[in-house]
Amino acid sequence: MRLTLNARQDLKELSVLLRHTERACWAFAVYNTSAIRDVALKSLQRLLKPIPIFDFTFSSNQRNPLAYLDTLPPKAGERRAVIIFFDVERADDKVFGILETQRETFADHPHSLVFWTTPVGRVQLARKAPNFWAQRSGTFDFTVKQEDEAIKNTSPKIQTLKVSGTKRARSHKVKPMRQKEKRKKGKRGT
Amino acid sequence: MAKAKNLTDMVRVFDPVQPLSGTELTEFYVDRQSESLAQMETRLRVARKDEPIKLLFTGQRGCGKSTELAKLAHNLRRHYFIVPFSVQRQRWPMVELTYSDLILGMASALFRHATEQQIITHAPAQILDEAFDDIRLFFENTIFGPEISYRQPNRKFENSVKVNALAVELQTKFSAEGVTRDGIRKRLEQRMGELIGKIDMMAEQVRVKYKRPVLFLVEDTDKLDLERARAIFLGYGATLTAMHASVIYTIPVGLRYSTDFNAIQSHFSDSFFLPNIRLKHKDGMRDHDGYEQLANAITNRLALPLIDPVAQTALLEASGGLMRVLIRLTQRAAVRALAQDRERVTLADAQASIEKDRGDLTAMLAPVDYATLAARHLDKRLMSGDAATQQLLHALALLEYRNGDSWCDVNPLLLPSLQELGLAAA
Repeated sequence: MRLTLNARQDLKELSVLLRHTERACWAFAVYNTSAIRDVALKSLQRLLKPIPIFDFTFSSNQRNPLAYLDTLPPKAGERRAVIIFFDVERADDKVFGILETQRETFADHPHSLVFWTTPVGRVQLARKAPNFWAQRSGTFDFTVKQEDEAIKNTSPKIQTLKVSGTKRARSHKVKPMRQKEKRKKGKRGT
Repeated sequence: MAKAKNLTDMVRVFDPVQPLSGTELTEFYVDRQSESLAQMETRLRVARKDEPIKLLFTGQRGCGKSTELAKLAHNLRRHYFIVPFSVQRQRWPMVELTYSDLILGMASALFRHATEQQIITHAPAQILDEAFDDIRLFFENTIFGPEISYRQPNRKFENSVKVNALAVELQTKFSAEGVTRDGIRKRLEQRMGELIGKIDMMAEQVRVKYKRPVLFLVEDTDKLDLERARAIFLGYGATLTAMHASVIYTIPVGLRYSTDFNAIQSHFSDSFFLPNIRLKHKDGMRDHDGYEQLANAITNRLALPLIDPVAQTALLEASGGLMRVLIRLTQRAAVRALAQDRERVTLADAQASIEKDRGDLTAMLAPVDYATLAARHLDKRLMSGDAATQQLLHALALLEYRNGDSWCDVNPLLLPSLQELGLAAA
């Protein structure tokens, strides 16, 4: 699957933003198929090299992104990194509460945060964490038209089941994403 | 942060996350000629040193409250001993915030601020050691008590250092441990008068020694949900204003429109609203001052003309006078120009940036909202009792302005949608 022209443009802009901001910033990458998301992510990793990338998947036992930031290796705490968050739309209200009420703490970290979210998740975030949402640097659109049967078959609903198998490992291991990606050799499970 | 000399710098200096502070406050700040800000500053300047002023401060999300408070603190630094207190920076859980947490946080911020080494060494004379010892005992016996374990400061330290260490310990434990929070709250509920007494005692010491009264700046209380904010400010307004020190509390803008606001306000000396910067008057005529103020927000950050004038005008108009939106739109336009290997922001970059924000805003709206937006676009009335209007104000689909009276209009990002639907004139 290939990115559309608009998605390629947004990907380039996202990488420019993440590369050039010096202090904390957060952005939202909106997608509707896991296949496109994975293609975009892979390209993003390439574009951002050598900036370290970490990832975090929201789940019932991994709800606090701040606690995750605290578990990053000390060097990662000092150096600017990109942290990618998955499945925020599947989080409960407590997560939105943390994003909303602890945004100053996110702002104190030197990292850039990218939340991959579905269009529904974007609305949820904007409604349930309006102050956090208001401070975004932008949204970047990776959605594709849903008429295509092939796209339907890789929709995030199906992806959830596949992700759940790797969720635990992803949530608890704090390793730069690109190393993990190499190890997995594309077996992202999504 | 230095002014931008190229597009890469522009991405950095147009930062929608951080309010202005330090040198940026001097370099980038725009005087918005706001009557309410001037009144608030005057109110605090002319107050007698023994007459504490209690103010409420609010405005729509992203209108620039934090920057204005930082500027106010800078302007009043010779008049007041400023104690900033940000609930979010303490990492305290705002979803369960109580009035006693607020007072405890303010007390702790005051004790820490008054005991920071640089302040002590610059003081004309040391604050009385006995006062610090009294506060130390209050921390140990009342706040922590025998049930809560805490790291005791080194016995060899001076009392001021011990108080500082205990205040840091309190902040850490309070943010991390629910049981500790509950224990402290329970104990303080019965000893609130005593805690306020300690604040008064320290504020008095500060006033005598530094020749300046204390002014608390309480930030982030405007991020509370409306119910919690109402419970705190309506239920405990008298307690929040009981201390003998001046204080500015930020409150959610929704509270200002609620029917309880008069009752809330009765506890405070005054309340101030920071309106958005006007680009048009209520009658639709262009407001040149507003344009100039917003244009300055861009040009003050640039060392070179990195943006085409038409692009700048498009961004100003799309911002609706919301400072943070203007900063985000400009940053995104610079990002786009950079991604396309340009050296200046063009109209196409500005329009693409505006289109993205428009998409975000329209995604939040339901079809039924458009009728309300069209009605408010026509009559400009704030309709404080109308839930639909209030919800759209909260979502920033409607923006509040003021000249003489308060009025609202549709966020300019949404005007094309209204025009497309035939609900507004092209």
